[in-house]
Amino acid sequence: MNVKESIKNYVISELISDNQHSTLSDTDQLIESGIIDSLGIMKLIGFLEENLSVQIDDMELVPENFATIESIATMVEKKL
Amino acid sequence: MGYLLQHLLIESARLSPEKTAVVYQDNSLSYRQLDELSNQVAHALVQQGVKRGERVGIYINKSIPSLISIYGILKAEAVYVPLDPQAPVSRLGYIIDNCTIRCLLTSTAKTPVMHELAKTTESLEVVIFTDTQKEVDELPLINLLWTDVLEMPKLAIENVSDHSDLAYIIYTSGSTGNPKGVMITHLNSLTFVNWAHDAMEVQSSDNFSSHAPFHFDLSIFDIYVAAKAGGTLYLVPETLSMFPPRLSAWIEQHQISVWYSVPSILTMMVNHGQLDQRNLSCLRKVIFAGEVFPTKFLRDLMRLVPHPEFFNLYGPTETNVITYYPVPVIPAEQTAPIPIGKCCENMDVFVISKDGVHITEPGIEGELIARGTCVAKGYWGDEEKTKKVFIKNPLENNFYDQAYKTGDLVQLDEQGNFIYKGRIDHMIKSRGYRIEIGEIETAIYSHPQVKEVAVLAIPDDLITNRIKAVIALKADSTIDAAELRTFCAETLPKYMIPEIFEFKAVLPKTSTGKVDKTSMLKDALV
Repeated sequence: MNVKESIKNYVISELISDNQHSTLSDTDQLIESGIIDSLGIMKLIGFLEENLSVQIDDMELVPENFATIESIATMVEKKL
Repeated sequence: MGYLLQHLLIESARLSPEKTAVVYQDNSLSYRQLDELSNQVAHALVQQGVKRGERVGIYINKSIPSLISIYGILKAEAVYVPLDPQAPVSRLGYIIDNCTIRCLLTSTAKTPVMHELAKTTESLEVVIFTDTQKEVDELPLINLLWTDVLEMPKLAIENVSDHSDLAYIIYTSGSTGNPKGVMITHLNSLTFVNWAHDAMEVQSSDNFSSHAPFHFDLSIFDIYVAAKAGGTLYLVPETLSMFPPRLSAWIEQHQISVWYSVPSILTMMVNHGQLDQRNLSCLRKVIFAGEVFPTKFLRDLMRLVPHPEFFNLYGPTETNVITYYPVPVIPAEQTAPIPIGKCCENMDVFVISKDGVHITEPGIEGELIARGTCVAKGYWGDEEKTKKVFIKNPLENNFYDQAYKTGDLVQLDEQGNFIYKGRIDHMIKSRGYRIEIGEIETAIYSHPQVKEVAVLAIPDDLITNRIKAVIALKADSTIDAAELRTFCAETLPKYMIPEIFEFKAVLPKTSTGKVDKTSMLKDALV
């Protein structure tokens, strides 16, 4: 599974708790729509660090990097 | 007419009408504007037949209109009920019908959910949209637009409310599956606000943060202490809390001088907020409440941000804050949590042992009891639960004096400070939210394929507790964690949904046949 897919799977299975987003696209807004909130972001970072073995720097904790599945994947792929 | 919460605003608007009262992103209002707009909301409510003591809902993402709504409802002599903007529809519907909300203020962004609520609730009749959007998808209720509100008179409404009238109802987790509404009077709230204003020595030059959501009682400090001081309230945009470096930059940018939040948000800033790169000399007071602040992170915070005074406040929603502790320099080797401190000057607390003995010696554990004007009226429409914890003061024989059993175990230290030791029941804290384990278990049990469930609180450095559900399914069941999570989200707010779901064929039992949570917790901690 590629990076984007595994991030997407994590977001769908762990962070989305209503049924409205079962068809999440790579460019759907995650923050604006409330899919990622302050509870979710720390879980997501934990997942990225543990499962994809990347280190997220504090400097990278900005909305632009977490706006969509695509932007998260871009940030992670730069580190691999 | 008594002295009421809204008088704090009215007085500051009289003294400094052009002073900025509230700022949210690029918008702000002066005290005069906030006073006038809330008068207009009050007139609109009264015109819709809202009466003294009637419950009026607020269902808006935190913003300036939420604050206008709060004061507007109070000025109409009504009781505001702040609803969690992220709560599932069924929970919102329960609260609306539970305290018979007839009239509700909302925003056009909430229209889809409002359509469902209009269909599923019994008491809703009137909805007021608080944003300026011209096009509104009308609900099958009486719809009032913001332009209608702006046609109302700006003059204050004469009112006759008394300070023993309810000001607001805050819903918290209930052990039997439904949230319970804590009824707070003006006097209850002012008891805390007046104390906090004096004890924290706030001034009109202060910039106050408003981090807590309005359905969480930490917001009472932000809203009313800022108004009493005549300071400026800065609403923290919700998404900022997700990005600690942005949040610390926001504090610097707006020169926040009084910060109040749960510890976990401060811990996030210690760990990820780049505090060493900020100039936060603007901060005069850093105040936290709602959960235990892990000592090592608090020590780090006080090292990274050395200027302000730090205060640990303690108290349940039923009394608001009742004890406080000005935090001294914490020795490098200390790991024990800091105390919750001493009783606030205009309140009264004491400790009662399991056998009903009044404890005054250090080192002996007992339940903390609060009495005085801080104690709430009880739970809305639930006499049984009210009677259990709102009791007659056990130390007073000659007359009726209401006291509140906090359910918190404490003991005194040698300096006369209270130390928090834990709970006598199954309530836990996570990110400052109080959560009844029973409410989560009830939600999961209602799934037709669940045979047994035990919800565990796994202690955690950052957020106090993580929630884990251990589940035994019925034979031939095929559901998985994702499905159960979705199921929980239909009735529980996000912070109550278990983070971990574990499936077992059967749950371990004690020798008496009870579900053995102790052994499961032990396994979870390995």
